[in-house]
Amino acid sequence: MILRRVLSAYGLKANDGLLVPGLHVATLFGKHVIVRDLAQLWSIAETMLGNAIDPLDPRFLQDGEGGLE
Amino acid sequence: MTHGPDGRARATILGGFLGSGKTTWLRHQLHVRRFERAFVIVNEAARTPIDDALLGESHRLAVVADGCACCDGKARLVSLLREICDERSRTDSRSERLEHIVIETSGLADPAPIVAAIRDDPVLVHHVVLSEIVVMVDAVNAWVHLRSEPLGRRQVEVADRLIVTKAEEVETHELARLFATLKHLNPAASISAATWGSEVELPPLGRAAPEVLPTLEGMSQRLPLFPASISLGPNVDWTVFAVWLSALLHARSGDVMRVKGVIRTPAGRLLLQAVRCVVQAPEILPDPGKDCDFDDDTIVVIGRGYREEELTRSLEYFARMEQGNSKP
Repeated sequence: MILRRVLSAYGLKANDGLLVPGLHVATLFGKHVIVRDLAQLWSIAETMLGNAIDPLDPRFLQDGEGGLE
Repeated sequence: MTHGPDGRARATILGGFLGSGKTTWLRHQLHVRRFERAFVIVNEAARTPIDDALLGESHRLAVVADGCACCDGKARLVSLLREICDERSRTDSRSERLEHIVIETSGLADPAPIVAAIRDDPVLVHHVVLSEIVVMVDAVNAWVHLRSEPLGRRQVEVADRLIVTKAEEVETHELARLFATLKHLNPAASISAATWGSEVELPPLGRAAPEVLPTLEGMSQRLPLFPASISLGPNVDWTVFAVWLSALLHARSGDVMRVKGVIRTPAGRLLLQAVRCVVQAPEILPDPGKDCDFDDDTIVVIGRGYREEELTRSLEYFARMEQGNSKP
């Protein structure tokens, strides 16, 4: 899914909550949060990363098949 | 029938600086029955409400005084709107059900937080949909607000419709400069002039350069707003678009002023609107209508601080990610 790919570009992992509704977001170091909607997701991601995930970041403006690390 | 196709009441937010002629305009609109079956809410930042005395007549009216509806008075506005909606849901839609809510904001209000208050309320979001933000601009005093008040500029920037009042009191070249400056601040809004509430034809204004307004603290004013039109290609589905837009509005909350457009989704055609970073619960439209201002699958983003093609490129990139063409 799109969300998982965007987040993984920033080293975050997303999964559907298994036991509770919502989306489970975790850093590679194991810090994790359950979010209920997209607006909350981006705000939590910003807190976790220290910067907002910006769709206009040059990494998302490339041609071709994309080169997300 | 003026309610939305999904049955929600339509809200018009009327803004503009103190003394810009909001009440005069509204009184005239009510008189000529532009808002049928409307409930009018007048917000006064001051303790003593005066505007309702002018509005009087037979319309249903309530006053939220002593607190601006975008901040101190917000809770009272929300509870009043809830009462109105509650009563409305108990009324048969074929009878004289209220279909329009007009909120005349205090001169100190920023319309965006009011839109947010409606969207964020778990009850109101299902009952009220934003119809239009109308902002009055007083030709005599506008310059003071535009030059020195961040709020004055914010009101102009979020408007769908700008109405210039007291146009007859200034010279034509002065009016031309005001129109050019407003157009520069908000290129997507329609601009007209009104005297005592009724629309007036203006003499030809000729060409004029917009005034270069000083940068105000806390505002990235050096860059003008511009409307960018984005066509959603066949590969952009609703999920991709929702993820992209929500991320954009979060990351660029200071830059993106408005988003409007119609998107085809499995659930039907959705009219999407955002005011700053607040997205309205989308309205489901009937099939390709006669009276729709927007083309399907075209979104207009009004903002600053990026290039138009960056929006398209980024959205396309998101669509390719969804299709799995890029490395995960």
